[in-house]
Amino acid sequence: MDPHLEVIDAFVDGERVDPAALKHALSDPAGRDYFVDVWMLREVVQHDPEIAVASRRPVAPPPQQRARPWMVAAALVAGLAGGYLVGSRLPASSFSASPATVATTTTVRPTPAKDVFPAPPPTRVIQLEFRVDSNGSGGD
Amino acid sequence: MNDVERFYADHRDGVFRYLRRVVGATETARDLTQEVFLRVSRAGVPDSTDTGRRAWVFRIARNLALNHVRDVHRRPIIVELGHAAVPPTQELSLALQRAIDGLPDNERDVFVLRESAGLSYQEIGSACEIPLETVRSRLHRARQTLREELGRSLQLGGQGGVRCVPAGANREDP
Repeated sequence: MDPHLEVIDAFVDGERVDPAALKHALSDPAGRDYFVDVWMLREVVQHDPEIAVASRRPVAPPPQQRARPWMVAAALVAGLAGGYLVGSRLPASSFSASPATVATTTTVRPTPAKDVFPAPPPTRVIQLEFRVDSNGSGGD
Repeated sequence: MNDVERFYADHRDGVFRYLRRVVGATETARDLTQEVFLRVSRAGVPDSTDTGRRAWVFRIARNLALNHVRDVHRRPIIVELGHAAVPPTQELSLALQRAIDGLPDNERDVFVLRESAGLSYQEIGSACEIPLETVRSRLHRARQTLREELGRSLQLGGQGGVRCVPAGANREDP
């Protein structure tokens, strides 16, 4: 590693250098060659067409920061505490002793059909007799 | 524009160029850049100096890049048969990328942070957690190696003339 050339590196990179050391490094032909080569190397690095084209296409920005879980929890706790305080400070008269009026729903059940339309009296009566078939021929 | 958005606008290009050089593939570099700023948005921009913030974001980028490179080395390499025609203008870029890839990890890191991302020696030292003297020596060794590797290609690349450009600039010929 050549300290003369490192001074040239630092100078090319915009760092502060000792002017006398830089003069000394550049007085050497090898130092001057190195100086020019470092510039050319930079030129080549920065003139990469693929990177230049890709850089023109913007990278999509990151999504918006999401609400953190602790923020959601804090909002919930604050809401509950607020509700409790408001409730505890209201005068007792504002609470009705009687239960709140509840809308009543009347359910109308259908009346059994026999009450509305009475069945007509029978005109014919068929009597069924239970008889055991001893031959065992029936029922097939 | 909030802190994270401003920070993103300021550092997006530098981070992308650094990652592109280290991982090689444009789409991977794009994904990793997203990941870097996702982490930034989760952690919040630190209350520090510009140098400190810059070093911080590049430390995140560097860690992600190193993890990615390590993962890729574990996977089997697929070799494509046949040679695609490479335009002459890309030959030097390919030679440079190959030469950068061939550098030892610690030298490549310092070189790319300096030349592609434009970090100062102090910022590089902070991002890589190494002393300034180590930054200087690694950078010098990397340049010497690349100079030897590229040799004649570098001379050919300079045929159009050389001019004084700051490191980390995204330059295109007019």
